[in-house]
Amino acid sequence: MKRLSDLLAREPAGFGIGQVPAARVPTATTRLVCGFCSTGCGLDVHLKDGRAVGLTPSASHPVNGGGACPKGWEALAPLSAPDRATAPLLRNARGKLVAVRWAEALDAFVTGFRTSQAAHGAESAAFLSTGQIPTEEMALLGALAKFGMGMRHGDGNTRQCMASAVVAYKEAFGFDAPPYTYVDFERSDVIVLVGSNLCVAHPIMWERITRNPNDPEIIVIDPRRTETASAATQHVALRPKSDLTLLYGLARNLIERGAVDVGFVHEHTSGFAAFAEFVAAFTPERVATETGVSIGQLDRVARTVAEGRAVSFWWTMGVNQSHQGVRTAQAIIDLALMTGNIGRPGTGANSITGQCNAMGSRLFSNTTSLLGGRDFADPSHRAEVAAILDIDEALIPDRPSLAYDRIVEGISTGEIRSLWIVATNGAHSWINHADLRELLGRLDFLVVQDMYASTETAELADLVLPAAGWGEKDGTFINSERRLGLIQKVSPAPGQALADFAVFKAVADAWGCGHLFRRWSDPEAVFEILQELSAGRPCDIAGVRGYAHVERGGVQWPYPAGSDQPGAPAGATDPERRLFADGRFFTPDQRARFVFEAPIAPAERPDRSHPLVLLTGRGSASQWHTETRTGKSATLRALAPEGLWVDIHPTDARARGIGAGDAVTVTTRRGAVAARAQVTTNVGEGSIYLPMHHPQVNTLTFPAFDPHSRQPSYKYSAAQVRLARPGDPA
Amino acid sequence: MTALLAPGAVGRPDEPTPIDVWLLRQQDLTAVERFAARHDAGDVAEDRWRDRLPATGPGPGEQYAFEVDLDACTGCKACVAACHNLNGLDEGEAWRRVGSLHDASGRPGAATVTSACHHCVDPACLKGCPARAYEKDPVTGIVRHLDDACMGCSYCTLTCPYEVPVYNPSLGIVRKCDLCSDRLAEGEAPACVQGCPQGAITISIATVAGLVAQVRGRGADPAAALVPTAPRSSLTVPSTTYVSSAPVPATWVASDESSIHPSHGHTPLAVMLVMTQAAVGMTAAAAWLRASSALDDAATGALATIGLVTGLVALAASVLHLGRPLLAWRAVLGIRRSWLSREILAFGAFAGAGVAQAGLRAIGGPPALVSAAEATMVAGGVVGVTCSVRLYAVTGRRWWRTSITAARFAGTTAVCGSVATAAVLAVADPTQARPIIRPLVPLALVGLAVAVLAPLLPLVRIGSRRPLDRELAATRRLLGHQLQLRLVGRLVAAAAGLGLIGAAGAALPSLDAGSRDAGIAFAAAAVVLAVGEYHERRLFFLASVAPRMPGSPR
Repeated sequence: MKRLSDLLAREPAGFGIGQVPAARVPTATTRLVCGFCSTGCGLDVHLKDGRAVGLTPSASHPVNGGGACPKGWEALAPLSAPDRATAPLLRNARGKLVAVRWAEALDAFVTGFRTSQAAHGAESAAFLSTGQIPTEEMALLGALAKFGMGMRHGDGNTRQCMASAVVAYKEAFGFDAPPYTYVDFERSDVIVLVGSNLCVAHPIMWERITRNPNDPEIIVIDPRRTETASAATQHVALRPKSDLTLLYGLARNLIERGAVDVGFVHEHTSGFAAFAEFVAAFTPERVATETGVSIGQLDRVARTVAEGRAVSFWWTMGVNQSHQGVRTAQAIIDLALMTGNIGRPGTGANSITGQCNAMGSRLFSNTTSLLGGRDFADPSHRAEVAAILDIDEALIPDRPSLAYDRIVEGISTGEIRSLWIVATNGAHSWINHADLRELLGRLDFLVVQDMYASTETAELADLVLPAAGWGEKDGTFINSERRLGLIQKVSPAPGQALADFAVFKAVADAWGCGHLFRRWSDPEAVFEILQELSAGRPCDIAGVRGYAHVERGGVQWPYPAGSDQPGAPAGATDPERRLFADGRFFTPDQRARFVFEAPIAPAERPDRSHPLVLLTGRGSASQWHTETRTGKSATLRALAPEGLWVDIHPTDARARGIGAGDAVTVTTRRGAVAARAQVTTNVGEGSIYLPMHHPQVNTLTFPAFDPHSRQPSYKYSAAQVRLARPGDPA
Repeated sequence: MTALLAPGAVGRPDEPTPIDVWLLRQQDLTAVERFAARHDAGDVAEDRWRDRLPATGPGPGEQYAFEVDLDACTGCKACVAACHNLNGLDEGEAWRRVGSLHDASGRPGAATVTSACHHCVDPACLKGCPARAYEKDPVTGIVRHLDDACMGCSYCTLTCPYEVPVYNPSLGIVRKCDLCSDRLAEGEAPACVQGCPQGAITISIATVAGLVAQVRGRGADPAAALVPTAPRSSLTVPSTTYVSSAPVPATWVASDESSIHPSHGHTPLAVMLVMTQAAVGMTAAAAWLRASSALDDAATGALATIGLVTGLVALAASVLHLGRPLLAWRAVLGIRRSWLSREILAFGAFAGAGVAQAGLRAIGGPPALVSAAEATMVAGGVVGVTCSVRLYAVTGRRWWRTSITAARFAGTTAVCGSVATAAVLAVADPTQARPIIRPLVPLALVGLAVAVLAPLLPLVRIGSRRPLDRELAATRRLLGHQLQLRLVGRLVAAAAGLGLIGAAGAALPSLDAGSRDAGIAFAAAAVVLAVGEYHERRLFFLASVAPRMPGSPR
């Protein structure tokens, strides 16, 4: 009989890993980049007879050096969930989703889209993609939908996380180019985090800060006292959505104390004089009144930034998900430019991305921009792409796509009639989604392609296509610091599930446009196409020597042809590289732009009936977005609070007779949700906070959008909280 | 990838279609070998954690200990996931937990607290274990659970104030952190230490005498705890240290303070406790009646037999609650330390002597031997109930302290024992029963009053300036909310039992005429009261709130 103690026996794994459970001693290991967030940690997957049996964070990876958050450790768990989609599901005459063979599913796919397109025009079909699949798959989807199926409109869920940063960078730097490398976390002496809860959202980036030997000043600008704010040396607890005013006030203060790097501004930027004139109106008194930040505290922040030798500015969703997200991001860029904190170690105006492959999507998804960060409206760009892909230029639309919110709006106006949703769960994550769920029901044809048939969105589909996930297919991601990472097939997909790549190829064949993608034979062949598409662009990766080169994790873009040849610029192949060391930007005149605009109030203001401001955000390091994957791991589930808890300030709680742990109802003008009260000073008076992972939270959010990026503003809705009453939602 | 599998042109009908080819390729895992081969040289994770371990192992009088830097911990919980994966735990099983504390006064302030086994100097799990399934390594100080020796009684989950051992239902045993002892033996860091992105968990060497002096020594603060709201360290002398630049204010509260959930209900143990106590009451009564020659052997024999059978059923129930009943024999091994072992031995003596006594009586054995067996049975029973009291009291839970537990167990013994005795006598031999039953009625009433009031009175604060402590307040909240229905059921059963005792008392005079009315009323009262006491004993488990490390809202 096997002894119970044998179940926990540990044996040396070899491969430098140390001891592992005896039953899971690997015969080999291979490296995958993590498939959750954009940090891009390397995970060494342990293989036994070719199959994944475990993993450890890669000790020699330039990003994480042996660390991982709980999601990374549990990355393999979601693959074996019992509710994986294992066969295509087609809605039958009685309205029930039933399993069908792939051949039937592909027929239904083609018939469904073609019928709707025949009646309402080719452009009435659209797709919604994701930041969670490899670049090769995104590129194939974008090319197939737009060049093969006649769609014009397609967008990604990256609209929900990165769009504001993209627009901000494009306008300021001339290209969507986050300038930093993670080493900058370790080289700064002042680190400014705006709307970024790094400790929870990007724990391994916080680890990089903890390795900083300079004992840095860490300034966190956030209305909530987050885990990161608690760990900071200065927490600026401003009023929600007053950040633009605060940043302009900071700029004014820096100008007044002579902290401007006049030489850099003169040599490498344009528009500073107008900016300086503009921010003059942001007097300390005005800033204090509008933001709730005292004159003294603002002064201290300004002094810290001014005295900093290497100041890095970082932002995440608190900035991007805003009605003025682009301008707020640009205000941060303005601060970095005016103080000359860019291009040097430990500096930068640095957008921290959300999803694992948000940047792949930004550059190659063929949605908002044409492949390779190009412009659909630019004839020369279309000609370049047509030549590289060897397709008829006329197949390339000459106008960009509608953004996500406009596609949703298009459903209500009848402009959009059929939709293909890939690896995203909009019926949970989209802002004010009660509306979206109703609209999805109006479509002629809705196809959802996902690992799970159980997502809120898949349940609404006419056709569900079962997809292989991370670890079940090959391809590359690009992380926050422009680093390429490889994912590999280390586990077979369940049942009839197929890699999204294979689904797209099969659809192309079924549609009759397979000939356009003959060169796109497998992910690595597509990677070569992407390299060609990138050549000469800022995001040039033409010099990368295939997947073998990417697998170790040492390649960031740009990596043009010849980077590792004699005569290449010094440092061209360094594993940690930043942009703009030479002060030359991607604008036509190679100067960075100061961009600014007057702050305006959010569209929905608190009033007597809804006097509180509802903030939303990441709940814990063990939860990811709509939890379609993290919710499958019992280990991760146990690490997150059970049920929905609303953070409320003691004063606001007392005024409503609410005690800690009480059952309450959170209401906005759009809905009501049951929660329990977490009475805490982590939120300011007048604010409440809900984690975004609960499926009901986005029935509450107010659908405001940044006018430039069309990114939803998830973090400001007028709300009320009361003790739960009979008849309230349970 | 073989050429055979390349998708492309569709040829003859018997050839696979492109989608078949894609499906075949999806299942093919050979491509991964391409990069895997290059890893033979491997990475060395060691640099990451070398400085998180002590340079040398513990010397005499020292032991390994966790040290947690509260300033560095961000609460990301990677330690939990790393432990789970590197130790191959079952789905959902975790040996480490992360909770948090915050300032409840309105000032900002919070700390996250990661904890696993504290490898105590005086481990309560080890002391409580009846099966000797724990050992404290004399060199490293690591408290190890010996999975193969565990019979799955779960008693250690009650004795450990930190709720460290966790029962694994699929294996039928508890398991817990062993400080990754074989990793440490090889100079390798424990899983959580390796897994912490912030380096907040390190391994240090603690001086045993120092640990003891800190919490049990002269002048030590009896309320000292690892962090605010944690169990008193004097209970077990935990070895973990939590360090921070500024001490965590004692006024901070656990973030899960307001989320109070009922504890494990332990149904078999509730059954066992009520039935053993009723059995002890009945057999003691039978022995007393025989010794005082107040009643003939037929009636007392019936009483003794029913009492014995009740006790045997109770003991069978308690064996069935074990995760591995075949190892029940191990329960006696812990006699030197474990109150559970002592309880089991005492009740074993009760059962054994009871059976012997019944057998001797049946074959007409020597009266001296019968008496000796009977005395042994009663003594075993009384000692057993006493051990029952102690084994819960030693857990340190406030609601289980000796005075309360002794009162409620004595109350149950008195009320169930006396009412059942009255029922048996009144039915077996009504004409002789009245004088014997008469004194049993007040005994039953006193027992019932004690059983009902003993657990509830400590939860009421009338005229006292001292507020209820955290544990008892939580118990009161549970009884008033989630467990309200069961509490009502318990009180209704007690009231109904009281009414039936009254009815039986009123019918006592009819006994002389040979009526069995009183006997039936007593029997009904016995059943109703037993049900009431069962609910009371369920509440005993469900509403007892363990002292614990700070948790997260659940």
